[in-house]
Amino acid sequence: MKPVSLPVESFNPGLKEFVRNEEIAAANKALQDALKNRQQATNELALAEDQLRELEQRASAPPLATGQPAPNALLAAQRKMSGLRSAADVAQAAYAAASARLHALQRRIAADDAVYRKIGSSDELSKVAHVAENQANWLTAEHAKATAERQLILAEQALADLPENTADDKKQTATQAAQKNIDTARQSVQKAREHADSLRTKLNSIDTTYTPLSPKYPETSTGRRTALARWIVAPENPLTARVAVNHIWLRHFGRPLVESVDNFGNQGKQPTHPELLDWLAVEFMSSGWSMKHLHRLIVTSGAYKRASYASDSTELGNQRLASKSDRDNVLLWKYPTRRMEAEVVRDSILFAAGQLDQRPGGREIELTDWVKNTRRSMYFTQHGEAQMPFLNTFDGANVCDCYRRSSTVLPSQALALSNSELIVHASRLGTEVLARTAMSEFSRSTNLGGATSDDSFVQLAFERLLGRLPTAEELADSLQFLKEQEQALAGHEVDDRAATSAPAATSSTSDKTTAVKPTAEDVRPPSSDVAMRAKENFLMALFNHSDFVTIR
Amino acid sequence: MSRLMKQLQWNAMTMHEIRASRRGFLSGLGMGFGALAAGSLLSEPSPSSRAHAHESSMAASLRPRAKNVIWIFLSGGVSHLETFDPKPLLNKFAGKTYDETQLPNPQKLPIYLERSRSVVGFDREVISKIMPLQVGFRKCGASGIEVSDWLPHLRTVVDDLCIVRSMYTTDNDHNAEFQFHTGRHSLDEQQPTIGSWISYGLGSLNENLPRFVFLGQYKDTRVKRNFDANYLGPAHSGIELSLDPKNPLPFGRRIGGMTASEQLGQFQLVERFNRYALQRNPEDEALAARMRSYELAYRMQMSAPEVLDLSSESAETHALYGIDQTTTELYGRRLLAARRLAERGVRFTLVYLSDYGEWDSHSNIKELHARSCGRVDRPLAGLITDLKRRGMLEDTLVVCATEFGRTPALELTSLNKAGTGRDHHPHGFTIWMAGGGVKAGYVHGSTDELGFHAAESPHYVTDIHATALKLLGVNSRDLVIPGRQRLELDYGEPIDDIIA
Repeated sequence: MKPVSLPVESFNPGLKEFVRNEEIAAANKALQDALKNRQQATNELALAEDQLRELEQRASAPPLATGQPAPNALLAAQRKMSGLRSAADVAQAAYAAASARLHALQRRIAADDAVYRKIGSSDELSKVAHVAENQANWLTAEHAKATAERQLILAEQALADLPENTADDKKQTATQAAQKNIDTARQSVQKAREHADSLRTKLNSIDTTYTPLSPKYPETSTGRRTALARWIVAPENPLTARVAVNHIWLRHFGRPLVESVDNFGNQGKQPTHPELLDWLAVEFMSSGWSMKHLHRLIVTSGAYKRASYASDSTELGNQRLASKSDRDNVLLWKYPTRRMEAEVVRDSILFAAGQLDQRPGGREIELTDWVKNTRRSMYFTQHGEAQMPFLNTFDGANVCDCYRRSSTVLPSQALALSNSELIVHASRLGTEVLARTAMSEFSRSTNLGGATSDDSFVQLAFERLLGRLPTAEELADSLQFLKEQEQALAGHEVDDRAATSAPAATSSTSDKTTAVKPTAEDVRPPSSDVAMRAKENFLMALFNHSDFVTIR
Repeated sequence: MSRLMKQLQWNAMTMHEIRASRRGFLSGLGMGFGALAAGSLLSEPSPSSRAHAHESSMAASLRPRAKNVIWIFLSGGVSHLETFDPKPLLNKFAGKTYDETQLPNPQKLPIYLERSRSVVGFDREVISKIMPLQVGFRKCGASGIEVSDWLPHLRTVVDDLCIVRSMYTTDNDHNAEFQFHTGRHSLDEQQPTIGSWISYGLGSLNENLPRFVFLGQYKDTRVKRNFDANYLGPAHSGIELSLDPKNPLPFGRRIGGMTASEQLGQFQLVERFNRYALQRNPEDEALAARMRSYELAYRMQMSAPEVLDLSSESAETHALYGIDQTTTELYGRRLLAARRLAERGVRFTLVYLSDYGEWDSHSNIKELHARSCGRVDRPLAGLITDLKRRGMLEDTLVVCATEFGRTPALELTSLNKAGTGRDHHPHGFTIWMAGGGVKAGYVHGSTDELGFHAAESPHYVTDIHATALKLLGVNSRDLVIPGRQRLELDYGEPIDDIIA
C-alpha cells in the first residue's frame, strides 16, 4: 500500500472550473443587485431633494401668501431627506464593496492559477491578489460602517419622532428604550469605524499572502482505496470478472451461467458452462474490461444466434430429440425464449404506437402519471409505499433485490393488455398512424393480386408490433377478424350508443353488448368509423399476441 | 349437464396429466374461446356440479375426504408456547439455564444438530435462560384442549380443531417460511409449492376461477416464493386476487367504450394466433401457460368481482369474521373471501394472515404476540364457525401454519440485553387443521417437557403436505414429473393418526 499523489484539482477544488464559475456567478449577481439598489436609492433621494427644495421655496415666500406649508411638513421632509441620504450612502458603499469583491475574486483565481498551475508569475499575481483582497475587505468594512451609521441616524430619528401627548410613564419607558437603541447603535458605529480604519491601514501592504478560492486538502491519499481497487481487478483474482460476465450473460439470455448470481461462495451453485465462464472472464479482463467487447462476443456467438422456434418439421423433430436429453435447455441447444421485463412491455407498447419519449434523463415520473407521461419506464419513481399496478403485474423491479426478476404468466397480465388505459390508448393512437401509412403505401403500390388496403394495414401492424410479417394463416385470420368486427359493429351501432351511456356494469350481469363506462377520463374514445374501430380492436389483439411480449 | 360433462372431461384430462407425458399436459389446454362463444361457460357452478365433484375428481387414487384447502399462514414464527402447547415447567424453571433444570439439555441431544441446518453458519442462542410462559392457559370445550388466553374466540371452536404439536423444520431463519411450502431447505434445489402441486394434481372445479389463489398483501416480494410453481410451470403458480372493494380484479373492467363482444372477438383471435405459435413450438411452457391465462382472464373478468364482493354477505356474517371491527377487519375480509372461493370450487387458497415476519417477536413478545393474536383470533374462529354451519367444513380442509415456533429460553443478544422475547425455534412447533376429514377436538404429537424438541410423533413439514393430499384423495408419491427428481423427504408421510 503506497500513498497516492492526487491531481491538483483533487486537493485544491478551487481550481475546478465549475467551482470558479459558481463563485463568479454569485459575485456578479451580488454586484448587479447592489447596482440596482444604488440606482433606486439615488432616484429616491433626488426625488426627495426636489420636493424639499419646493417646500423650502414655498416656506421662504411672504408669510401670508397662499401655499405656505405647515411648519411640521418642512421638518418631516428634512428628516426624510437625512434618512434617504444615509440609505444612498449605504447603497453606494455596498456597490463599491461588491465591485471590489468581484475584482478580488478574479485576482485570487489568477493567483491560484499562477501558484498551482504555473500560469503567469506567482509572485506578482499573488501580490495583486493580496492588494485586491485588502481593498475588498476594507470596502466591505466601509459598507458595514455606513450601515451602522444609518442605524444610528434612524435610532435618533425614532427618539425625535416620539409622540408628544402621551402619558408620562409611557413616554418615559419609550424614551428610555429609544435612548438605549441609540446607545447600542452608537457602539456599533464605533466598532465599525475602528474595524474599517484598521483595514484601511493595510491598503498599502504589499505581500504574497492571499486567500485561495478553496481550502487545500492533503496532496496524497493513504492509497487504501487504490489498493482495494487493484486487488478487485487483479488478474490473479478472476472472481470479479466471472461475476460481471455472469450478470451480462444473464441479461442476454435471460438466465445466468451460475444460477446463484449473488453468491459465488461455498453455498453458490456450480456453473453450467465452467470453461465458457472462465474464457469470457479472461476475454473481459484482457480486453481492458471492455463491456462492449464482451457484448459483441456474446451476441455474435452461435448460442445467441440459435433459433428459439423450429422453422420446419425436421427441426421440430430435432428439437424434440434434444429436449428428451436436456429438457430445460441447460446446454442452450436453442435460444431460450423469455418474456419482456415489465418496463420493456410498457415502453414497447408506447413505441409501437409512436408515443415513446426516448429523451434520456430528467425528473422521475410519478406513478399516477403512468399513462400521460410517455417517457421510458425506467424513470418511474420507486418506493415501498406504492407500486404501479401495470409494472407490478409484469413482475416489475423489486427494490429489495436487484439481481434477478421473476417472470410469471398470469391472467392479470392478459387483463392489463386488454383493459388498461395504456393499451386502449396506444391501440387507438397507433391505429391512426398505421392506417394512414397503410393507405399511402397501398395507393402507391401497383396492387398485384387483388390485395386491399386492409392487407397493407395488417402487414404493417405485424411488422411494427412483432418485427415480422404475418404468416398466410395469420393474415387470413386477421382479415377475417376485421371483416367480422366491422360487420358486427355496423349492426350494433345503435345498441352501443345506448349502452355507453348506461351505468357501469360491475359483475357477471354484464352481457355481450353492454359497454362498461370508461373509468379514466383520458381514454381516447373509439373511432366513430366502424372500419377504423375494427382496426383498433385488431391492433389491441395483436398487442396480446404471445410474440409481442416474448423475446425469442 | 353439458357443464358436468366438461367437468368430467377436464378432470379425466388432469388425471391423465399426472401419469402421461409432459407433452400431453402442455397440449391439454382448456377448451378455448370456441366454447366461450357458445356462451355456456360463464355461469356459476351449479349445486349439482359441486355435489358431484367427488365422483368427478378422478385424479384421486384414494377416497377423497376434502375438495378444497384453505391454507392460512402466519409469517414470522408463532410461539407454540403461548398458543397451543403450554409447558408449566417453564414457569418452574424460569431464569435457569437448560443445564440447571436437571432435565436432559435439549441442545446437547444428537437431534439438535441432526435436524437443523443453519444458513448463517452459527447456532443461535446456545446459552440462555428459560423464559416463563407469557400468558395463561385454560382447558376448554368438551375435548378439554388447552388454549391460550390470547385466543378466546378460537377456544369456542376448539372441539373442531386438530392440533399437531410435534412439528419441526430444518432452517433456523425465515427461509423456513418458503420451506414450509416447498418442503426444501433454502440451500437446496427448490421445488414447487404445495398449492402448485394441488393445482397440478387435482385440476379445477370451476374454470371461471383459478385453482390456486393467493390472498394477502406484502411489501417484500420474497413472499411470492410461497406460491411459486417452479418446474410445474407458470400455469400452476398461485394467482393473487385483491380484496380492494373498489378494484377487486386489477384491470378487470373493460374501459374506453369497448364492448364484451368486441373483446371476445379479440380474445378469440389471440387464441388462434397463439395456437399457431404453439404448433411451431409445442414445448413452450410459457406460451401454453399464457394461452391458459387468457382463457382464465376472460372468465375471471366475469366471475371474480362477484366472488370477491363481500357486500352480499349479511351483517351477521361480517361480524362473525370480525369485519365490523378495525383490528380484525382486514384479516376477516381475507378469510371470508377464502370461504367464498372454496364455495365456488377454488382448490387451494393460500391466505397470508399477517405481514411478512409479523410474528417474529425477538423482543417484547408479550405485547406483540397478544396484538397479533388479537388480529387473527376472531376471524379464524369465524371461519371455522361459518364453514361448519354451511356444511362446508366436511369437505374443506383448513390448515393454519407458521414457519417455526419460538425458543423456550429468552433471547439475549448484545442488542437485546433486556431479554423480553423468544428466538426462532425450528426444533418444535405447532400447527392446526380443521375439517376436510381430520379428527375434531384432537391433539396429535407432543414436544418434550420444555417445549423444545418435537418428541412424540415428530413431523417434518412435508408430512402436512402428504396429509392434505391424502385428504384430497391423492397419494403424494403419485405426484412426479418425468425427469424431475423428488426426494423421499419431499413426499412426506400422511399423518394417519389425525385422519378421522
